[in-house]
Amino acid sequence: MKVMNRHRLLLIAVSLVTLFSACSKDDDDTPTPPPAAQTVLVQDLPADPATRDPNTGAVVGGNNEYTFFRFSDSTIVSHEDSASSKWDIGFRGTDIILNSGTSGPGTAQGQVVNSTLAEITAAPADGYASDDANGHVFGEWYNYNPTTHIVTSVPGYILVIHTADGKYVKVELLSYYKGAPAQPDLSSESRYYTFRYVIQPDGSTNFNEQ
Amino acid sequence: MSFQKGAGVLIYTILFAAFAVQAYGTATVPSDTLPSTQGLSEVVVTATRSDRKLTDVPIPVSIIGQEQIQSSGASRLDEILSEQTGLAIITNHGFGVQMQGMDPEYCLILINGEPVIGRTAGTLDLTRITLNDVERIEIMKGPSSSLYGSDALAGVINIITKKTRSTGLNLQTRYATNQTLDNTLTGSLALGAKGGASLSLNRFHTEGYDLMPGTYGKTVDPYTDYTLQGNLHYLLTPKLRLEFHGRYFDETQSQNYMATDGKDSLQVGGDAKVYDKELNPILEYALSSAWRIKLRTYLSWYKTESGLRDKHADTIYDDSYFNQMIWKEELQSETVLNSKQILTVGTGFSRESVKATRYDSRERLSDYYLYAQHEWRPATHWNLLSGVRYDIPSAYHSQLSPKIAAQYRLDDHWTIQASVGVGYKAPYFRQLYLSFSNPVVGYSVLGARSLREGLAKMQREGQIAQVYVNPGKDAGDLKPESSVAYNLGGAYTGTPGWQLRVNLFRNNVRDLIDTRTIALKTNGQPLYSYYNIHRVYTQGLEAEGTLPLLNKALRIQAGYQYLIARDRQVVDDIHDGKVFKRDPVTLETTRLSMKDYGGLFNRSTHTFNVKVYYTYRNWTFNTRVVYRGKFGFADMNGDNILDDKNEYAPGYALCHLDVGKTFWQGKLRLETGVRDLFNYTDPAHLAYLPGRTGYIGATLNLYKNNSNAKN
Repeated sequence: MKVMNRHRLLLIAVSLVTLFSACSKDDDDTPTPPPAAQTVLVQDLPADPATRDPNTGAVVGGNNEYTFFRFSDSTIVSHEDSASSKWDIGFRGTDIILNSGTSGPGTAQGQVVNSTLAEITAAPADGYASDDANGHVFGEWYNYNPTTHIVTSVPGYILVIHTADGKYVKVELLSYYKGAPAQPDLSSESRYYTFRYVIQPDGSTNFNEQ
Repeated sequence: MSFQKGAGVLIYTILFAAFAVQAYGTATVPSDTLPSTQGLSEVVVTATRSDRKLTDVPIPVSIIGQEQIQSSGASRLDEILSEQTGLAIITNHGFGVQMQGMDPEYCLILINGEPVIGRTAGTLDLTRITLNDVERIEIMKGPSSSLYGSDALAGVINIITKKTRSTGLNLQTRYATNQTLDNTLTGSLALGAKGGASLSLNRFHTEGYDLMPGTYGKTVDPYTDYTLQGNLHYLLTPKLRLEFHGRYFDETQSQNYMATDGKDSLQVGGDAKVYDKELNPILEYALSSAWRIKLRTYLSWYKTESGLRDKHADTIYDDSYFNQMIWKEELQSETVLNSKQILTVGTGFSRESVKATRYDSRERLSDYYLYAQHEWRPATHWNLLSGVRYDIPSAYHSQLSPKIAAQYRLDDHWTIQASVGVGYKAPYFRQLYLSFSNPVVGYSVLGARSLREGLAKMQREGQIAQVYVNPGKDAGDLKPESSVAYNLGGAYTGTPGWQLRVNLFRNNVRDLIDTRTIALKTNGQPLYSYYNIHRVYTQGLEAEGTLPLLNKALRIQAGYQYLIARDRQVVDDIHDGKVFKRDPVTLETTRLSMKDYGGLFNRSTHTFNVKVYYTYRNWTFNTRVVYRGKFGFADMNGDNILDDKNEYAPGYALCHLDVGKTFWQGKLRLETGVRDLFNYTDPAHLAYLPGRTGYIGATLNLYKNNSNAKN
């Protein structure tokens, strides 16, 4: 596999909500509160961005390769490691893959939960699936408008993932266009994902941030 | 084999009709010869396929008569329909009509009972149809696939052309804003007491208009239409009548516009041509005083050609064509069983073919059908109409379409009507046979019937990265889109001739066809095909009233429609709390509630019209206000659901004013008028509203026999 990725650092805004036991300490028997989940906003993750030759219409600039991403440290994983379990999720255009099943050697699995990010306080215990011959787990994450040719992520389509390194993550895809413009049009640069995710580092299903 | 099937059906029908006559004997019908005139007033043909008095039909039908057409100053069909209660003109590749909240593709447009073909994206462009040579327009709401088969889902609009009985010439000319010139010359010939013939030529030209002068190209490009129409009705023998209607239409539009090709815009220009031809001979034979049969033949051709060039690079931008042809034969038998019952049975077939740029080869579709209709007056106040039709098409599911309607007359003033019926719309050729790859974006679309083969071919060529949905044994098995509809109405007729009609309607539509992703191509783009997916419902209330005043010199009409049109799945999902909406600026996601949901796009909850007609001596004055409430225009936040304030277009009212005067016992009529008096335009949402336009016109009637001058 061609090594194209430069390990470019992502523009990542991380809001680590540090663990505080905010409640009163009246009771010494208070069990250890669950560790805080962390919320991360990833902006403009390139997913094989491409432009088109105005004369021929051919795709130029794209390399037809996935951008691999790991949730635990919010990092783009090099293509050299495509055949490893170092990545959880891959993006190429509108195509999203998980590192397991027909898409990779890892164990990352996922499921769609119809809700808002905030309302999912715990990851489902089961129901996780891998990409297989019938399609990709997250195959229907977007709406395509045939008139404006604009791709918009389906609101309420929350990706819940059990990562390759055993953590639970909930992800909301927010935009497919560079800079997440409020009204993307044909001049907007596409194939740039902006998404928000919440990860529970201790391996539990709990997404509490307190 | 299929021909034998058709012949079998034909024989069955004849035998059945013969049996019916045998069984019931000769019934009471006025004459054993065919009537040579059709001079009855307020006659409708659409509800039963035979002439009936409007008051005897238990189905909501309204008539736009010649006087209304003439005094409204309308030239083309879309203009007159836009002023009717419960109808809205909407545009999508042409001007179509929305009826009972359903899109133009669900409304059947007929000329003399036969379907006009040639739809683009489901829209039959109503501007193709001139109002010259039109005797009346019948609008029947609610499904009637029980008589007409496919497309008669929301309702039927039937254009009845004039049947002349006099010899003479009619010349009509009208000049309007935007250098619009509409001229018609009609020659007609009386053929003794046996019939008549006419030939008319219409030329319509407009320079179009430009609502956004800053951009390249006009909002509406200049175009010229020619329509040649011929009508003949003639009693060959006292028992055998021939009717013929022929039409030729030719349109050339010189287009110039900015095309958006992926991310770039380019100036393109060239001619777009549309032709259609129709031949429609009908033979009607009276076998006895109570039994007559009709043989209808219908041939129609529709053709478009588009040759657009990239003006800058001087290369071909679009060079495409679309050819459609239909041939229909139908045998109908109408038997008066007794003074209370009439039985109509019919059978026929249609063969349709399409050859177009986007199809691999010439695609054919045939349909054999059989229908029966029973009109029954079990008691003086009761009137029942029931019918059923069975269609056996070659490329999709067979379809059974029943309908039953009842009318009860409470007294001299009150009548109530109720009907239940099934309507369906056959899948389009493109939904069955399309084979298309977008050269710019790279996605592909395959029709349901082309899917298995097309997908296999793409796999062989290495174009497919992954198949999501394997076309199993039911691949290509597309069902028609269908509906079950209920209409319940009442009418009140007052003593000085005033009238109020109310109709409640509900249409449950299922199996609406949409695309679904089948596979991922190696270029990262999807492959789509067509499936029966959506369910929608429309419901509402329609009310219409007429108030004649000043000894009928002044007539006031008003109409109103309340409409709800929703996607069944969206409603269910909202109730289940599964629908969300994201603010595009804050990127906050919230759960959608029913009060946020505006229903289907392009529907106005409230529409109304008020029309005032006044005649004084030889003058006619006519003013109409047509209001269309706010409607969903486009999805702005990407969830494909109408759920945000900025997704609506504002409501608007148009006011039209017309004045006419006749001279020399009706031989000459001069007219003038203004459409959209207050110059309402909304280029962002309603590019098809040209703003205020005015016209002047003259009609000259030169007929040998003055008593028939109205013809």
